[in-house]
Amino acid sequence: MRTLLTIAALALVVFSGCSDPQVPPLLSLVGPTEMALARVCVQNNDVRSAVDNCLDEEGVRDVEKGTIREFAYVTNRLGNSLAVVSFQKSIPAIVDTARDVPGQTHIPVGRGPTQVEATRDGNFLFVYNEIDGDLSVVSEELRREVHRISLATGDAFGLDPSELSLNAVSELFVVPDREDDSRDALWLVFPERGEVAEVRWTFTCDTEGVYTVGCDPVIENVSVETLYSFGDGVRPRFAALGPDGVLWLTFVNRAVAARLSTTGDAECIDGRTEKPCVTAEVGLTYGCSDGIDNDGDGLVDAQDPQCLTADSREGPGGIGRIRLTQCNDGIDNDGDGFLDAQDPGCLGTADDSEGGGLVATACSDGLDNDGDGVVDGEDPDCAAGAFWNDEAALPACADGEDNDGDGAIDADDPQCLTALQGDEARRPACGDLVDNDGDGLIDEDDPDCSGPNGDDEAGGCLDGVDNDEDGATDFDDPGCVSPLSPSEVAAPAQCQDGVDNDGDGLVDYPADPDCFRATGDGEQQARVMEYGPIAVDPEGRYVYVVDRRESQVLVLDGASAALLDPNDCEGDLEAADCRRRPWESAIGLPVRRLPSAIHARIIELEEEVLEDGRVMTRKLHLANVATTSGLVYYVEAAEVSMFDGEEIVDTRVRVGDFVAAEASVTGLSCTLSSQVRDYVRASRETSGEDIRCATTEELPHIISPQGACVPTTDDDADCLCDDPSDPNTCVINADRRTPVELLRRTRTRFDDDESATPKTVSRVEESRRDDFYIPNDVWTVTYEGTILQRADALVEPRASGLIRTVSGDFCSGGVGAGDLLTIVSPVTAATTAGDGECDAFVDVDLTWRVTAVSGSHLAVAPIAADDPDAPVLPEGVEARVAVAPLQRCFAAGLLIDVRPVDTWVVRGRDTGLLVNATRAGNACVPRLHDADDYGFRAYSDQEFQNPWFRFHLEAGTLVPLRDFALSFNTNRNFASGSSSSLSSGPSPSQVTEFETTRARYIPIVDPGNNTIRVFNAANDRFIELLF
Amino acid sequence: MRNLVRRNQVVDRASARVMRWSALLAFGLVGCGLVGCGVDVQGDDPPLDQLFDPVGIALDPTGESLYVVNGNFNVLYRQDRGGTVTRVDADTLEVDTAATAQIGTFGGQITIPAHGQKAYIAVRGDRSLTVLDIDEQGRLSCAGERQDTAGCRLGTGSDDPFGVTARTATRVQRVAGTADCPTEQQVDSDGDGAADACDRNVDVDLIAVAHLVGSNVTAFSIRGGDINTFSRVSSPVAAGANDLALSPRNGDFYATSRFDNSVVAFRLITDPDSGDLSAVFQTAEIDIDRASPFAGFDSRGIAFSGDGERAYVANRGPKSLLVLDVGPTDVERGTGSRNRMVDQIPMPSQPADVVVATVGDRELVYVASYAERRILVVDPAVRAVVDRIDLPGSPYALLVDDWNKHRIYVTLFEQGQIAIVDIDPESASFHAATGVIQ
Repeated sequence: MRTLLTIAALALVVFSGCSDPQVPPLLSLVGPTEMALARVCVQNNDVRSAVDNCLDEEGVRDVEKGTIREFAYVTNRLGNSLAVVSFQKSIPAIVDTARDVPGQTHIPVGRGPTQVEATRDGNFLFVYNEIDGDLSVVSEELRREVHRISLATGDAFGLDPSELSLNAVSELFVVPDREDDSRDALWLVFPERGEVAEVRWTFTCDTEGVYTVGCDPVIENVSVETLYSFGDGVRPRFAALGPDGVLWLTFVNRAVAARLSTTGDAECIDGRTEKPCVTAEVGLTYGCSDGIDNDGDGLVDAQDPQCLTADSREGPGGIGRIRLTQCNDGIDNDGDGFLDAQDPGCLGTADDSEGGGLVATACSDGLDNDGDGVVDGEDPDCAAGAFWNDEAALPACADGEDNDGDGAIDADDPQCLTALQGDEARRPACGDLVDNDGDGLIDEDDPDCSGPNGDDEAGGCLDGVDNDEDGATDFDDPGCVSPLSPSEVAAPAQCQDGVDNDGDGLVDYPADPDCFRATGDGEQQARVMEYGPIAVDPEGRYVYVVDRRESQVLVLDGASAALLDPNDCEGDLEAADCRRRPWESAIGLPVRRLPSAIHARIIELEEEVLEDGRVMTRKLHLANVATTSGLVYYVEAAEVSMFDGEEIVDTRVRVGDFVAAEASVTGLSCTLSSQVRDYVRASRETSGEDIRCATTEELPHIISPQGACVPTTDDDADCLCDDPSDPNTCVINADRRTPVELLRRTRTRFDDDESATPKTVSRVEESRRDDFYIPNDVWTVTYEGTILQRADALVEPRASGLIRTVSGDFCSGGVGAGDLLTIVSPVTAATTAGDGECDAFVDVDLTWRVTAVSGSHLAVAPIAADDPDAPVLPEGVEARVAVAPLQRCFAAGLLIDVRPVDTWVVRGRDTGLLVNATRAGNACVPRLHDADDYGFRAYSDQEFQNPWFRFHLEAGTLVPLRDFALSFNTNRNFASGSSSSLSSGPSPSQVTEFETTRARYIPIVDPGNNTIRVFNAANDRFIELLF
Repeated sequence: MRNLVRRNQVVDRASARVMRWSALLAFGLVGCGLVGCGVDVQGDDPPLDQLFDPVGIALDPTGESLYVVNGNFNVLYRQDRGGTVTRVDADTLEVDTAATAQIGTFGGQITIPAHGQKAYIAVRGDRSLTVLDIDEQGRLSCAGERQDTAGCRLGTGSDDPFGVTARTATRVQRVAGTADCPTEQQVDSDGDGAADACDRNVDVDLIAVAHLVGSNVTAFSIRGGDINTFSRVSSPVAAGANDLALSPRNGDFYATSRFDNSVVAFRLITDPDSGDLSAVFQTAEIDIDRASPFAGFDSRGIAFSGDGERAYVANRGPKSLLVLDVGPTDVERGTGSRNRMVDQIPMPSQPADVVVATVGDRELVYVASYAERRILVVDPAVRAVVDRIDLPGSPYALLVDDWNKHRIYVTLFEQGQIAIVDIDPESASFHAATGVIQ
């Protein structure tokens, strides 16, 4: 294929050299961006008014009242015109506005039309012209521009370069005039001006405000005034109109969605006393990076000590991805006067203790060290911060005096690396030009010194002592940048080094808002935001915001103005069926590829009328999101069922699934190698039956998880109870469950029972597998299987008993203390013939016990001869290595293999291992998510559970052989779309919905390939392609 | 995103190569096909005092010299050296005849690294990277020779080299002798207690060349400005690579493709001992999503925002300006690169080159619209076209000078001119074409 393309390209180049550009074909649509429907009722062939005047009480066309015109108008951005699409028949079609002119003709408007809206009576179209920076007013009847409305703020548009972008309009809406709702007004969003403007006007035919057939209307009394200004450089961009005069907006430079209200009782939160005002702000990201004071303590984001990183939350109720710990709970747990991020005992987000820390300073030890009656943060001598180590005096590098008489004071003294240094004359042991530890090596030449600021040449990270008394020793202390670091006291992080690292004029924590904690690594700026477009459903119940940066859709509750986190189990994290998705940092629903256009809908699923007249309804609240991949996603917010005045909201926050079948588990089997067969046969006195994975009792099996359950219905056959009223007597019916149980979700709704006479409606709970989150994968459960295998390891030359990785991370690799490490690579031949020092590694099993794990190193020790967990020696090997590995005996680039002892390793072919560890500094700490069942190690006769599935691992009668594996497949059975659902082109700009007298339509506009796809909104089936 | 070390095809550490006349036979066949006209190996020398078929343009680091590659596209002049690189004085806008050098036919882009002592030109006609010296007066030559520059042509090994960009790295090179060597850089290499060598800092130019045909990107390294030290590596990175740009944030090269549906990022790897190129390492492949097969997959110009957090790509399938998020994945450390498309702005037909300029207090994106004979001005903050600049011809390449003259130079290929567009926000002719160079 590439060859053919190359040949084609060559041909292209051959001819392009002499004949570029090519003449474009005549097109009907030229860069269509937006479409609006104009519906007009023509009464007595005289008055043109709103279409409702031609409908009866039930909304059906009444021909006696008049005739209805239904045409849609499309902005041809590159053609400077409006195209006309007729909806007069069931199949829409583009209209040629001037048949006497060759080709398809349209309505000329200004340059670069990007947006169009129709007035409620359908008589006028308002078109925003991006290049001209003005509005074209088009008469729907005349199909001609009748007026221009300038949006320029200066006297002459375009001459003042600073105003170049001021007239850019990102959204245009037709709304009822706030002073006279019988008339229309326009709302325009100006990103550069930071405001929403209101345009009002009047028109006259024979009579003001009444449009008559044949009229050449005069537009008058035009005013463009500010409706609301956001100020402070805030730039709104995308917006969506909700009911009751509400406008939801997203911003170029804020990570929030704001609700601008013009009516109603909602209180203003922007300091204003009357409408229009902002009545709600919803963070579209984690609570510590949304620019909002989520917990109302007056502190925003990095200023709030509960914010340890950008992806944590300001308070328990906010959105974040960090578990609640002592270091983000807003409590001074250790009573040292400093809480959370301010406390040096909080090393990072996974730290669950304010105690300890990098340095147990006198200003953070909870003691009144100087006996002045005040402790730690309350002592004025601790004003330099919790890291200062003397309650009796300020540090000499922050006392305003020239302590060493060299003419330089405090920060000006080169001896003062930071304000916290206590002595202007003191230099760290690794920067004092002295051989402090007498090993013949000075300062940076001493491998025990990792840098000039190091304070110990003696290797404080390998001495087995908690040197800094922070509760963490050596490898476990994040202060140990490597096991060879000079001390457990880390070099100052960027957020405590006294340097304005990012040049913003603000130094360190807490002054620089980019520093979340003193131990933060960088004074970097906040990330880029790409929020929008935004949609609101017709009831205003749910708001959908596209996040183009993360390719996700965020779902907001429009009433409570809260983000609905798809990963919080509908707010009940303690629910029995709650599973948070692994690695889930997203707070929206993934839609993949670039989501470009969105439309919110309500689909009526069911309506039942009982004999007594009571009505049950079920509606699905969702949004259609068109992406550049051509797929249109169905983002489901909730199913709402109502009956007899009661409402049940089944909050889903899921992507719609077009596959009816549930996720499933298939292919449960095991590896029956000849070795395994021989092993089983050798244990039998007689040959016995054939050896099979499912039935052979000598072999381990995966069986249904045992244990308690809670019945989901009164007659739940999957959950057997001795006493149905007491869940404690209930156990899982193993006969009904599959061996591997997948994640399930419970849905509640009203449903009708048609079998009953008369028909009844009742509350129903249904348990279904959550296909959305189940991965397609092949899983293996391997006895003493390989956890990690690397080919880039080497024996550390500077210390014995250490294996180093060149580029990997042992923490996230899943290695734990107690595992076994085997060097697979042979001893280097060159050294075996030397002084005999490498003989200890020849003809022996090169397996050691891992005693400690850091990001860069594994500490290993020989396996004692009497170690009960010692592995079986390989065939042909009679002894095990008895000494630590020596670097000179092994080449660089070792192949190492790490396995557990008497443990099963659960691994997905695509997912890999679920390792609940990551690297902080060089220490291994738990991952930042809060899935308690995050792991990969399983044990015989125990239940295993991860966020997707669980099973019980039943031991066989024989000890399994190493590498014996059980396997199964998880099948997601999930599809985001189908051939019978909506689809788009490669660059969709709009998804919308039209209601006409004939049908409801969903057009999807695409300027990239100059097409409009039209679908039937009743069944989402394709009707027509306009081009 | 895939991190791959593509199979590297040729590693060449030989001394400078002289293009053999026998290669012209192959060139002639290619040239015949490319032009679709009659072949004329002989012919007149090209004019040295005017522009003709201008394609590539570059400014020297001072902004005072504009260099223009004239392509000899209709082969009016002798094919072997019928193209020229012309110097235009940015103050007088006059062609400096004395500075012009002749190169092969069908020259492409030109790049001048920050030291301003070399000019690198991709030449399709002889499949070369032509390396010219720039002296203190801004004159171009190949070791003093301005007419016959064949001795400064490095073969790329692949057809149609067109896009070129370069950056300069510094490495320490140990050379014998301590003459003019700072004390702290002197080294006792033989352990006799006396310094006998010097660890000198040497500038190494790393040049990437994109090929319009095939899928190769060719990379060169040249140490200390000595063409004899060149090394070369080729790698199949992008099919029909059209334009190259250097990320100001992490130094990766980014290439657009005329046939692949993606923008590719790659890095040049040098051998730590020899300093020569050893590999082209692809660091990312940014899908630019499904294009209509009827519209083609064609991506053209690419340019970065000043902070390197965003890139803008002129795309022809569909016709649009793509916005790529190329900021760091780890905001706290500034490491990694997100590399994904975040927006798509519809454009008129045939968007070509893209440049980013700082105008007043903001950055604006300028997109050449070849068919429309104008430049569109996009404000990326509001994602709207905020202005249009009409031109006297069809724009192809754009070059911005927003620190010295506050201009954009625009090649008008068919007219044989360079248009000058004023981007000084204080000027009465802001966003207008104020003249042409010809």
